Amino acid sequence: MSQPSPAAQRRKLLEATYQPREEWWSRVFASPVAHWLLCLVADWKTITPNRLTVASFLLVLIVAALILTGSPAEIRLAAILLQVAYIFDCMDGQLARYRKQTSDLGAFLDKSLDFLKIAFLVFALSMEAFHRSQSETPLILGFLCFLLTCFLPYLKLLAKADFDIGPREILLGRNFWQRNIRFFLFEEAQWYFTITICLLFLRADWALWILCLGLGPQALLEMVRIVGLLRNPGIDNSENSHF
Amino acid sequence: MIESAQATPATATRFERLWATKNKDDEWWSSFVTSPIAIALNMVVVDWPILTPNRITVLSMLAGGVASFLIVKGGFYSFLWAVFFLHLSHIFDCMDGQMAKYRGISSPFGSYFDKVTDQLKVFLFFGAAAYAAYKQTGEVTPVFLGFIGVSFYFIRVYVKYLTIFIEMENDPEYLADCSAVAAKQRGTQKAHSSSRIWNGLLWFLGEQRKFFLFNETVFIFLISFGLLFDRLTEILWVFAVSQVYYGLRRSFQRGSQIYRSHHLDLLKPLEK
Repeated sequence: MSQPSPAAQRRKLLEATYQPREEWWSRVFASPVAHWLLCLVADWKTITPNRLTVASFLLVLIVAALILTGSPAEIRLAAILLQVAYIFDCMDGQLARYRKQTSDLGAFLDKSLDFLKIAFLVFALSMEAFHRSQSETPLILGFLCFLLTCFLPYLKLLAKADFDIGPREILLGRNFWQRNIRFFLFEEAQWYFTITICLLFLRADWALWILCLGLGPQALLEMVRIVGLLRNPGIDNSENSHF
Repeated sequence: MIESAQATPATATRFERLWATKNKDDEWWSSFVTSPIAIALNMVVVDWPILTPNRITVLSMLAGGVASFLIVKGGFYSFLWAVFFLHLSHIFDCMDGQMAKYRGISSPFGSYFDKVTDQLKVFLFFGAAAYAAYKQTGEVTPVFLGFIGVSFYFIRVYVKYLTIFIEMENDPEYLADCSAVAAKQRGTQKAHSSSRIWNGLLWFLGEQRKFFLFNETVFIFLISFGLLFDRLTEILWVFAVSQVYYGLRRSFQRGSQIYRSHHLDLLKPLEK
């Protein structure tokens, strides 16, 4: 057997470009599943990274619509489809690296659709919780939640684009905790994880509470960090300024 | 970009120095209402040592908080006071930048603080307006509209920074190049002389086109209108539809800009 089969070659190439995301839910679930799926479909011509990004967005729209219908079976289906959408979201980056097709447009599409996805999800969750409880609390929580999920990426981009302050850096940190902090942070993968679990229990309001309570302190800390760096321009930020 | 007051001669009066800090590309409602009022107020307070630009930003945020509280509270007199505080908040918002430029103390911290509180205020105002409309009508539609409007407004702002971010990864000089192009365009524009009434009128009419940009200052006007004439649901419709339009349009513009860009033809001044 002189020549390895195409499937084995593909797997080898994919493993060389495999970069799992760092949040724990993504590292233990979505990234490995995405990798395994790609071993099967990475060479299908109809699948392109940008199409995967758009498919993931459309799936989230379907999820939001299913949540809004309000029947238990459909909400549980939505919980599962949400994870499928997240797997697609992990696949697009890996596929682009595998095919050497990483592009600025791909990055733009990915990031801006991520932003809209969480907005639609939070909206659907708060409407569902509102219809269930007929009280205003979910509406207020939903608005707050939406503010936090949209504000965190905005804070980070604003700091980077206007003032060249990078995110709290991970891989260059001095000790284990600094290098791996993102594993424990409450970021996108964990948002989807939380929403899925809460939807399986048919409790959209729990998801809103957890998102608000988890993200509030994080947004405050981020602002305090950026303000601190802006007020002390003497601090050497060069270590943090590259990703 | 920061234009310092040094461009005006040292003998200029306080009014001339303050007038020089007024942005030529001011947004609609601020261009001829809140920004002139801010200059009038600054004529009195600009040299008071107790007031600093950042403190005025805090005051603006506080006035915005009071306005949202009054909107949520409901009732005609609350709404009347809310309109007053909305405008006060926006006047303070104009004053901080003018004062910073006048004193020559513009700082990255001040600029960041200002931008972040601006976003927070849009969110607060429309959250409060949607809640008030929900209370009045007992229907969920206004909340839905508020949600749609705010999310598309946020994406409109977000894609701007996303574009800067992506372009800067390719070219660290991107922002400097952008402001050079913007300065060149500004230089070729015909200077307005408001010395004559006719010119002033033409300028005023020309400024009205900016209404259709539907940005922060138009929001102040829209919410005030909705509060005073009891048309909250209608203005939420206008807000949602206009923001969906601009959110999608800017996303497509930015997307095609990035798609086409090979670092040469993308030096368009950045708008949100």
